[in-house]
Amino acid sequence: MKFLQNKWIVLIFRLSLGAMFIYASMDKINDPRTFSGDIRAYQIVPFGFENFLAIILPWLELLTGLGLVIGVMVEGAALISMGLLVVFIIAISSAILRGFNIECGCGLKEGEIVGAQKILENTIFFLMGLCIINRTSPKYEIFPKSD
Amino acid sequence: MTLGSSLNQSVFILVISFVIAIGYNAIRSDSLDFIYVKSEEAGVIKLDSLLAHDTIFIEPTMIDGELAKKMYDLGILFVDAREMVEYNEGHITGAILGPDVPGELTKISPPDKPLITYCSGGHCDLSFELAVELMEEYNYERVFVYEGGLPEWEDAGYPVDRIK
Repeated sequence: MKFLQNKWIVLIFRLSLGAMFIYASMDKINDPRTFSGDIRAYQIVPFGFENFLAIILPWLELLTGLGLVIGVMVEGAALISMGLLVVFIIAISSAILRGFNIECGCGLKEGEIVGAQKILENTIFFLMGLCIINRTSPKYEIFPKSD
Repeated sequence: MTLGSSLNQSVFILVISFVIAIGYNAIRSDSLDFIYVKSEEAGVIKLDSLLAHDTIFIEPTMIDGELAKKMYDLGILFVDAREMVEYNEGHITGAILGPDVPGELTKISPPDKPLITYCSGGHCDLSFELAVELMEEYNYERVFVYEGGLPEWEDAGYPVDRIK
């Protein structure tokens, strides 16, 4: 799978993953109350921390996305995005296993319901993150500066 | 801390996100509390169980203004336990005047339907006495006593009627 190390392929992954995170963060930043409700539906977060997550997560997604797109701290942003995607995959899987037919709260499409398709999507995004972090020849990165 | 390693960069992004997120939440007009409190949901559950047919009451149940309003919105009948003069001066919209003989109420609302009695709040016992009588003498299953009564209802800005 050497072509996955190709600097252009990695750049496309960076832009795709970053754009996805930026786009996903927008509605959540505008309306954290609704996002908190979406998190609550998963019944997975204890002690009423849904609100706290609803405040923090969207900004983390936005900065991660910006980092990937602009090329600032690409490795750190890739690592965070992979971490977030793992959390999302676990949350969605647990909702499916418990038979919940709830809204994903992913922020990509209105009214999306949790399902195997979401897990597949997130897995693909996770693999993009993996390629980015293992890239051998960085391209168009501002900080740390690439060639 | 150098920003060379991916882990250090992640921590840096995480910290910046925290600062911006908390700062932005603090200045926005509809800011969220960090901890979510389920007050509204708890109220709904309580209301459902109070009105459930399999919930058995042996005496009247006191309710607060919030629950009273929720029951009002559900169309549950309010009974004014005071005198006609006071009733004419002002009563909860839609409430009926408690008849002289409480048993006459069965013609308007059968004993298996919930009722709410109220009077002038505070030291007024009329609503509680009427509720006890309805449950003990006339087999009403669920009678609620709105403790705050008309004064609290009016203060909250809920609908009130007057008969001139």
